[in-house]
Amino acid sequence: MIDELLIAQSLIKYYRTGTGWSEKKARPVKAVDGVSFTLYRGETLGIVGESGCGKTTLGKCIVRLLDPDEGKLWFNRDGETCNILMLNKKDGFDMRRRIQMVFQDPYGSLNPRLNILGAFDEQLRIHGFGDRAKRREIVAQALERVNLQPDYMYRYPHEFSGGQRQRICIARALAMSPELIVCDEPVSALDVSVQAQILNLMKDLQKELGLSYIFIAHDLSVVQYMSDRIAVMYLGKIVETASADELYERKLHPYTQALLSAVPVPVYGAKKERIILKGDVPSPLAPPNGCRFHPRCAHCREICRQVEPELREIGTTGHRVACHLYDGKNE
Amino acid sequence: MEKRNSKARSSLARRSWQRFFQNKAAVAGGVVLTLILVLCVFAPLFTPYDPAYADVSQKLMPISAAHPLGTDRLGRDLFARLLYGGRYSMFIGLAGAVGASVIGVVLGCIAGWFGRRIDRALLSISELFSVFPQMLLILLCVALMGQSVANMIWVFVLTGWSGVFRIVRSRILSLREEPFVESCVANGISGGSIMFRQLLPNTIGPVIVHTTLATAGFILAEAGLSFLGMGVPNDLPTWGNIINAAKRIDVIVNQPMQWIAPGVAISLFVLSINFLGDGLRDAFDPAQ
Amino acid sequence: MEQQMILRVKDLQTAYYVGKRRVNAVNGVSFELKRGETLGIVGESGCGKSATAHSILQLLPKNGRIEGGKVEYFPKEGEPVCLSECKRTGRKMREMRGGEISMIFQDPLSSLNPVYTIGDQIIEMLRAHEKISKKQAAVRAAQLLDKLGIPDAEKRLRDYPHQFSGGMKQRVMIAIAMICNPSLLIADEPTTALDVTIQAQILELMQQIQQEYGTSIMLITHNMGIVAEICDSVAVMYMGRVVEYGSLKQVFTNPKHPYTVALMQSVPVLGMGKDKRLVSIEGATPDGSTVFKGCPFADRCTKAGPHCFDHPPVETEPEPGHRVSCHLYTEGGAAE
Repeated sequence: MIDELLIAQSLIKYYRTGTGWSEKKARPVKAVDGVSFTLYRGETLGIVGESGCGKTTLGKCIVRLLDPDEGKLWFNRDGETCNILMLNKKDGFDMRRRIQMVFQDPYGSLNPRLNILGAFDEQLRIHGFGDRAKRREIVAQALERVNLQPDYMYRYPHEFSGGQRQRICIARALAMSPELIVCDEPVSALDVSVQAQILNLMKDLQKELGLSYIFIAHDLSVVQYMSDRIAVMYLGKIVETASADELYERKLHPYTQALLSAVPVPVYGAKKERIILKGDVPSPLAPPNGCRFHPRCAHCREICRQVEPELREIGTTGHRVACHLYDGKNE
Repeated sequence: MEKRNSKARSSLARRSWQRFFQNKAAVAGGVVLTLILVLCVFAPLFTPYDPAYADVSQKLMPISAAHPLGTDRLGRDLFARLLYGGRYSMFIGLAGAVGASVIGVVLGCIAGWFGRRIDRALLSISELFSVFPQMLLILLCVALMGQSVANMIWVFVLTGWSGVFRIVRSRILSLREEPFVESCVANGISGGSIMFRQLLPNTIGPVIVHTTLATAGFILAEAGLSFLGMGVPNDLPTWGNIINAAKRIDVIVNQPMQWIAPGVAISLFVLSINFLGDGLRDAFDPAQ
Repeated sequence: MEQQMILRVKDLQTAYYVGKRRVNAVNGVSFELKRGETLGIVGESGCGKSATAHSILQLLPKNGRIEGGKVEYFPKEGEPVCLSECKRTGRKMREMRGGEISMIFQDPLSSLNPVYTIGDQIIEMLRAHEKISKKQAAVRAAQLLDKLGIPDAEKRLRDYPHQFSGGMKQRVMIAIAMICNPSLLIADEPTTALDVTIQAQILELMQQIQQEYGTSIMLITHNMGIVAEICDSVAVMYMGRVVEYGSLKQVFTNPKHPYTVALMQSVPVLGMGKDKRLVSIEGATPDGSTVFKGCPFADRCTKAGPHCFDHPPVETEPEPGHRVSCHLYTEGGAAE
């Protein structure tokens, strides 16, 4: 049975730049500019894109570290759907427990002055997870779940390696018995051999606990391995979304094609046709008119410079792409 | 369970102490400081004299068994005055430094955490205090509020908080961006709790150092002010007042002990506290 | 020998001293690089790959010292130079750096001096090695930037580093490295700080340079994919040792060392099934100051036998040019 856990509806988040009196004059950075997606319960939605595409901002909006300027986030809360951006204080607080986040930097993610128990304790206490003994038990269980010894809870962050710290961060999220974990580049700061440990662990936990993930990363091969569905972002917008297999087999958007071809494959003789994009990602301060990708696109036509393409369904598999190349094709 | 808990919990502190004890200068500073503290705090055990009791028959006595450092012009025992004077000097220095640090830490946390307008306002105030010549401000305050130990401390607190304020503020400003803080926010932990329970312990190293150094600085400042006659009332034997009493040319030449002894006391105290402060900073640096 | 050698490193030993601790960053590393080829040095952080590169040019920090071994450089003409015997700040070494061998670093953001223009920095490099007027130098710099795909090269010479994007800065870094037309380019994680599409641009550029100038490249990276795309031979490093060395084909189609095998299977490959499990290497990389009695990889290795913990492995050559340091391939090794 598939049911929706989280639906984002045209989320918008602009950053105002500049300070003081110039605040009103400054142009906003359009970090997230009308993003919509659906996440099903027990599945992983991968969000992939290069730096500056707004994927981290999007993640922070979902855990409400940032408040989106516009848009709706529908969350299936015990069978009833609610917009988590409009909840009252008490329900909003409860949502913070249900949606957890794991960050990129395992070194900055733990307070160096608190031991592991201390790092977990306050959030458990304020969310009403019981008395001290009970909370300690929860921490021990969470640590065991990520294959760490329970008595590590009395140690301090500096005693752990990067991989262990990331496990602890995952345990900190798990301790809250969440339904959704937003992972922002959870393995990109780790060594290759340790990355595999964390990815395997995350997959196991998903199977055991029925968790849903939003997996944000720049590394397409990791995202493709972890996700059921993938959304490709470019300059604040989703340019293509499809199931992971579909996206690999039938990539439609020229940007997705370039991104896929740019990933180096560790196989001998796999030298394939690389699509080299011209130039850099434009500044999100002044995104190009029309299709945001057109200055770097090899298939750019007149219409691309003027009209911004909409994300439209191609075929019946839930494959959606925002590109004029597919205008009028099997809608 | 509980027992193992406390043992393991102290591991960070224990490592810090181990590092501290490897630093010889810091340990020496600590020992000298403790010695001075014990001498001053338990002064009645080390000297039978009352520092204020003037025995004119005994004036300007040389060093002897009865008077280890001799007596002054009014026949008061110099050693007793030095010990009792240390009490006042240290109390003024320490109270001033701790008070300034408390204010600086609280305001620094608030400014760093809330940022924007509150930060700008507090920063302007602290700049106001630091661009104004400190000595002038102190003189002004003393002139307005009169001479007393309490006023002296207030003056030091008022003029001294901006240093700690800036240390704490900048630490909090950078810590605020760390993911562990974001994790707290995302879990709905309140700002006050994040500020004081999560962030404050991370700033404590530089604050300790600054406080110890400020203690030394205030003791020097107190001595300077007393020397100028603007410090604490003359009848209280602070180290500064003792030197002040010895500033006549004939005393400087003929009774050198009158100014050498308090001078050495101040120098020793300031030096040892500086070494201790440096050692503490290195020992409690979480980056190590 | 059909192809000329350009660099030979033999049994290189480098150590860092941190307080009383001694960290053996490079522990008997040997490899050769042929003219016009690309050698990839792969390994995880702390495996000594950067220390190896820095040892070659003697760019080690003050607490680092080359303690043994030999680094030989073979110029196009003339006698071979033994780099490991040159004085660190001696004239010979300075001539080599930038002139014959240049280096590009991981972080293009901090490798450029923010207070000088790009042009100044390229021209200074050129004039340090060649007697050439400022004007001529500027012309050459503009030509090179143009070749490296920086539009408006002449104008951009007058721009400061902050006016360039990350990818463009890395191009400038390559320009500084290439301006004296060196025979060997050492690239230390040149694309790690860049986005994938920019990484593809830079890798393409490096291949183009190699074809055009015949430069030999020593590429240091942790990414097996990059190695597979542009290298001719590979050295896999672990804990300061080269555990496997061979041609790209040998190492990638027939990996011998369990670490190499695990390293290749631990990264997800595009198009691999979601249900396939990644091979993870248990535990973490040991501390650099650890002294090993046996094989340094033994306690993380799935194929380790008791022999592996007690005896250091000897390098064997299962096929010509393919060298492995593992007891699995010595007689009566791990099988015992």
